[in-house]
Amino acid sequence: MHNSDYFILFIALLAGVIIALHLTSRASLDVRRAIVAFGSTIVYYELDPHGLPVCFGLVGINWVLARALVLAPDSRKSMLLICGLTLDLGLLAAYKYLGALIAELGPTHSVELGLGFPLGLSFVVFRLVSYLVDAHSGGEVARSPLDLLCYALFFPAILCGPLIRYEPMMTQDRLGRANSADWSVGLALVGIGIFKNFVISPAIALVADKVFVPLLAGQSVPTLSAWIGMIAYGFQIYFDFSGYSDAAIGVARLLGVELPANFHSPFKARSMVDFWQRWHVSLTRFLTIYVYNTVTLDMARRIGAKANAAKQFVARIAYPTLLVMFLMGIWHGNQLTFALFGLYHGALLIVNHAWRSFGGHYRKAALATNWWPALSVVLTFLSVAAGWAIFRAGDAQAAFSMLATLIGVHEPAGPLLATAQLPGHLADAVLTTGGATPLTVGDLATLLVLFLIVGLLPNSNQILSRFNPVFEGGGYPKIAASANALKLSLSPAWAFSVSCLLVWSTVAYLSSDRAALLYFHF
Amino acid sequence: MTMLVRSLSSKESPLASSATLKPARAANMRGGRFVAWVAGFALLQLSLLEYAGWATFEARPPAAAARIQQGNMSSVFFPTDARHWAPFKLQRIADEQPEIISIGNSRCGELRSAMFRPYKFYNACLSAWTVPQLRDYFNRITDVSHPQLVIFSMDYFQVSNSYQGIEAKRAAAFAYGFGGHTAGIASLLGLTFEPNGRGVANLWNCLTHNYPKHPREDLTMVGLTAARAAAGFRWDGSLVHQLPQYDAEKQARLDFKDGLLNAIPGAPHADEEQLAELAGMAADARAKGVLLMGIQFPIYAPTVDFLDHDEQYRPYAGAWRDFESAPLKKRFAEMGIIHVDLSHAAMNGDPENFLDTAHPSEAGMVAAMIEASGNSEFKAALPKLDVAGLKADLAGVSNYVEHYHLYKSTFVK
Repeated sequence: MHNSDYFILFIALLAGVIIALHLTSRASLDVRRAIVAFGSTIVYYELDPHGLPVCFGLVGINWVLARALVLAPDSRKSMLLICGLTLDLGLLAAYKYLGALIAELGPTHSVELGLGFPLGLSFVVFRLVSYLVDAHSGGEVARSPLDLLCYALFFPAILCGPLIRYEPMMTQDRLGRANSADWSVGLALVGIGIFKNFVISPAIALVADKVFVPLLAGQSVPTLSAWIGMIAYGFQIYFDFSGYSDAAIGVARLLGVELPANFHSPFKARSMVDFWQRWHVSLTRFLTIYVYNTVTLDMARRIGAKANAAKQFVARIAYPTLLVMFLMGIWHGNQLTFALFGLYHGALLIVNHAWRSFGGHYRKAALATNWWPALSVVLTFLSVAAGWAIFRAGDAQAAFSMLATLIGVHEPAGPLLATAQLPGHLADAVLTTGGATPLTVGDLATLLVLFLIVGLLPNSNQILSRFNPVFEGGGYPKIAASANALKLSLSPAWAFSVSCLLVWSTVAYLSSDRAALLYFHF
Repeated sequence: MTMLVRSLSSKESPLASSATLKPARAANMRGGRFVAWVAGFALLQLSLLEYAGWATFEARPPAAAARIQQGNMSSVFFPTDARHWAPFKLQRIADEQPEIISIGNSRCGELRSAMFRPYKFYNACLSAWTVPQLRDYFNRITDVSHPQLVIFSMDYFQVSNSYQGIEAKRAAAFAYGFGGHTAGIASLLGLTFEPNGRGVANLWNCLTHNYPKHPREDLTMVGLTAARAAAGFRWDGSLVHQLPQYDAEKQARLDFKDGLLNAIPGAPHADEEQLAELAGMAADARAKGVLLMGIQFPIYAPTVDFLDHDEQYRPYAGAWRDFESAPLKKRFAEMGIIHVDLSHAAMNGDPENFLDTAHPSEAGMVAAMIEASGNSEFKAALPKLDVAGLKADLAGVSNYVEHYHLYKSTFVK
């Protein structure tokens, strides 16, 4: 299918669901949830028909297991939970890793199993895992399989989240009762989201590719160009993924459902800890609740309160952090580089925690200076940028080679400047990349504009802060308001801006046959 | 505001005071107005885009542009999406009802109506690449017209499955759908905002119908793509190439690495599937009473020499050798195809006869036609062809530019 086919299908389906919900707005919540479940099923079927039975199977089994958890005596609840988690996570692991392992065994064993990775399975499984764990802890349980289907396959967020727990989402009773204020917020979020996704991300992807193509081919790339490539790739992922999240939150709002924020200006983070509280927030929160807290509590019980500070730090902070980030890394896929990416961020987080715990008077002195906030933002930004080398590298050797390039080890012999003359045109080359296409004035200008956007402008949720754009209850982060000048109001000027975002982004999407969002792969 | 929005939720108490309800209703109305504004502005922008798309021909159905060219011999159109070239030319054929039509890939793009005088000729090349595409297009053109002769570019690489595998994606889009339309709108935006800064001026010129003239021919470049590229399809369907293609870049294009062999997949042998499709097209032609002529158009001599003799490339030149072999030529004859092979024509040695290794220039094409006229079957198929006139035209070529602009805006109606 072409982009235009997907577009028509999605718009037709969204319109169908909205009309059906409108017609049944006075009906029971069960009816409205059934409509959304039906719509979600059609969307999923159109995107990945082979994955639908897997999702149906998972939803059915988890619904039964959760009901059993409610009815079972306390002595059996943990066993049921373990069974459910083993099934859910085992299936996810099998899909993510088994195919590659079989292929590694050689041509005789690498049979085509026909088991393509079902689209969005990671997110479906994580939702069901949280549902099951919460049910085990006495949380709300779905009354019917359709309720759980509505939650697990909720079509606005089916592919890349944001992740939300069952209870905060399903206890919202305004599904299908969106008012005009919801529509205003929804349209604005969709506009901002698809603009990030279909206009900004592809534009910066061209810059990133100019550096990554030669880097991945093993060519020498000048250090400065390599850093520019890393930063560009970070921006590409951010605008791609946060754009999708914004659009998902916006579409959900059109249906009357509030989803939590997934990004909160991550490039303004002042530390790695701060960064992970702003980047893919719903996943971080999921891992914190279900892994980090559990492991920390367990470790605290094991070592007791009398252990020295270093032991406490290792057991209660370093180990759980490294474990969580390792899991976060391998969640992205079966490549060793993803595990390394997780460990890299885990190590940075441990250093950050150690600085907080043991920094003592050095930390106090630094915090008292004027320059520390700026320096900490820059350090965090560069640390994150370097991590993208590992994330995108095809193998560990390439990852280390790229990191070496970033610290100037593989500096090529040729000149850094692409031309001796002063560039006067957007298309004029400025910096060599080691590849066929140098970085141009336009590339650097694009990067500069994006720096200004991520560094100075409020994020989409802040712009819409007058209207509570995201779900903030249940421990999900609260969004600080932005300056008045950049707060959306219901004025014609803002309506014009939103309409521009919607129209121009849609045209950009329809004109490109981009395979998929970057994050679809995970 | 948040509270007002919340107050509209279903949790709202039916006993809420009217004082609470009034501001809530007002907020809802403001929200409704905002949504209406968004919809209105979006519609306005879409209308403007549609207007610009229509006025610049970027988002107009190819058949509509073709109809305009019917009455404007000096106009050059260039549908922005290559998949629309075939339907554009199909409409032109339906309008012009030529006696001779050429179809095929880009190698026959320089055939001009003046080369076929006194016959009425239309060049529908750049419309079909693989044999199945040729057959499909042949049937489409013979459904809307009644030509005596259809000439198709019949190249050695077309008889391999590997070429079919690669070029099948070039299939023309005969139905002008939503996707094609939006791609046209996107092209409009892309050309308008291209980094060289000339896009806005080009757009303005198109919107004000101030279309540019071709720098070397008395032709008007109509539509944003044609105006920007100074390239497109003339009235007779031939292609006006972009100037740099034969000015600045020519030497590089004559280089092996940038030539035919780099663009075309090698193949160990001719494949029966393609030959069967070719036989099917010939049978279609017989059934419709149309004479079918397959011409392998000239290839620059060093490339032919490479195909004939390079030992390293030999495993990949199997389809070439099969195509050139007597048994296959016999099979073509048995199919009822008049096969004219100009790959070893004497004119192949002169670089001025080519734009690159596989694309003859206009003068090169005239030279090829003169050589082809020595073929008895070719002569029998085109008995009235003014070969003496062609020789005179070629003799009149006095400078470099005329090799590529021999007939300029001369058309035979």
